Amino acid sequence: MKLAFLFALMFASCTEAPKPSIAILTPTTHPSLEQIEKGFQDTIESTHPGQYRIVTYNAQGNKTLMRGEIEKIAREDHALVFTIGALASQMTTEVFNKKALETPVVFTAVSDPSALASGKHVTGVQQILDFERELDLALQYKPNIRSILLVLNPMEPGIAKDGQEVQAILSQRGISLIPIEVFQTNELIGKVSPFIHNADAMIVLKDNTVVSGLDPLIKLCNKAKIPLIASDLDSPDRGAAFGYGVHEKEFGVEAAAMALQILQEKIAAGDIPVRPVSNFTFKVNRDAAIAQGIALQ
Amino acid sequence: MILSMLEQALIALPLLLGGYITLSLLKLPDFSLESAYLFGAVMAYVAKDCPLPCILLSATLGGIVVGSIVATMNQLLKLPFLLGAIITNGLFHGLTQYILGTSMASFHPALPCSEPLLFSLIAVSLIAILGLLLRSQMGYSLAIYGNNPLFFQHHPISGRSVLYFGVMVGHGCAAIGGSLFAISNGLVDLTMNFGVILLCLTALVVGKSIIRTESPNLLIPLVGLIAYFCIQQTLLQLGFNLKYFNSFQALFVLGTLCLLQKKKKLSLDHLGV
Repeated sequence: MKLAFLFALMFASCTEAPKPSIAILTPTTHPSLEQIEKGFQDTIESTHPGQYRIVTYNAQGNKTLMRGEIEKIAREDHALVFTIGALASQMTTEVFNKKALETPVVFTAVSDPSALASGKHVTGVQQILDFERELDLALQYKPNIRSILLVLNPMEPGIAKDGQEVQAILSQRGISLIPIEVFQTNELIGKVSPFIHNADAMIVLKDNTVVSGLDPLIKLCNKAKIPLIASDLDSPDRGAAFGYGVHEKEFGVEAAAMALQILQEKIAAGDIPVRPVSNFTFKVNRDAAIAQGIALQ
Repeated sequence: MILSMLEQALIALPLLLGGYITLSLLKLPDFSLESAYLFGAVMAYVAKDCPLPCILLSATLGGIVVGSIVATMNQLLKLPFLLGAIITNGLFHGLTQYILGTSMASFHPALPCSEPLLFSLIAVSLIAILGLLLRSQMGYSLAIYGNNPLFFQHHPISGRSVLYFGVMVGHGCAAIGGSLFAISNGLVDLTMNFGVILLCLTALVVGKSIIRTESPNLLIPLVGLIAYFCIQQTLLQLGFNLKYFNSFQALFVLGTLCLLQKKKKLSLDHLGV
């Protein structure tokens, strides 16, 4: 009898319920995406240590591989799926919809969430930008700006719309905008150089093409003594005079808070409204600002 | 796992069939297959409100246009095929951007049946059509052109027509592959063609190492593709760090080719497929 009890106890300890798992789908390797992923993981781990098993799937920019990963995630019994960026989010929700899966999906860093399949299993964090405030703050440092160069890749998701928003804000203030469209990083110098002396400042959006090739733009701005205004917080560390935005990690932190609402409080994903990350920060790189002609007190 | 693997293989099969014709049979360094794949998806998107046959026809025509341009560059403008393919990729990069107008667009056409059934029907139809084609005089001419393009100088068949025909059929197939991928994922993305040429080469190398025949055989892309997705899913299942998937893929092709060459069981041409 005692032996049977002992065996039963051993069996019970061996068959401990497996931890619920969370799948993260990230489209490629990129510092911003890594920060978002870290923010999500750290939040989950710090609030519920050891309670969830987190599995990351990185598609390495390969769409066929991403589809294969989504198929695998769909087959497995994950408690929740966290997707980063528009493409991964849209592909995941599309495949899950077609398979009629009820696994909750939390997306992050998506500018236009309306494109995502609607349903009670999807929610997430929207990426918004506040150009009005960004320009206000930059103008405090250089009030005599009369024309601004906007370097953008209109093919990046949401960038053309952001560009139009910037143009509208500037025209209200009587500032002229010189938009320069680039489609690849190697076009930056060639297309921007001829216009650099016609502008009093340069602004870049949250545009992967332009931000990844920011260094030549920094050199041009240093040479022409005009401030470079970035719409993210990493660019001032690289040499932009100003940066306005949210810390990328916040996209992960906010999404983790939503994930925990779903997992811990058992709230349906569809009942949690899509919300933006709103704690914006204005960052000034003092040395860069001086190099770019800003007289700091 | 097997079902999802088969579904993915069905989506990619038209691309592989196109790749088999241009890369394996015609032995052309045809990187413009990537453009045909994307342009097919974009043209399918343009016809998104039409019935499915029109969508697929629009995609196929898109692929044929890409094929005819790269073939014209090679045959009439006398550019080396690789250079022509690179220039074509550049041209169509701009054209797809212009037509799509954004980097990513949702795409949900009305389908007459379930996706797996639709993809199966398309795959069976393509295999039947191409199977008949490869048994015809034109089909054998494709393989002959790949082995000796000068052969036709001494025969009353135009080598130029053989190349035009093969390239346009191959690109048409690749374009159908692109449209199926877009339908299946509910979106057209301007970067969806990145790396598809590596998928083609890997699957064809694997297929050729399994099905060893010198005559045209559609089993090569078919088996190669299934093997490719088997390897991919096995790696995923084993928890392989997919950060290194592309490197692994390249190493796998390299290893397979080296091994087969060492055993002298496979004669390699300039593309290895």
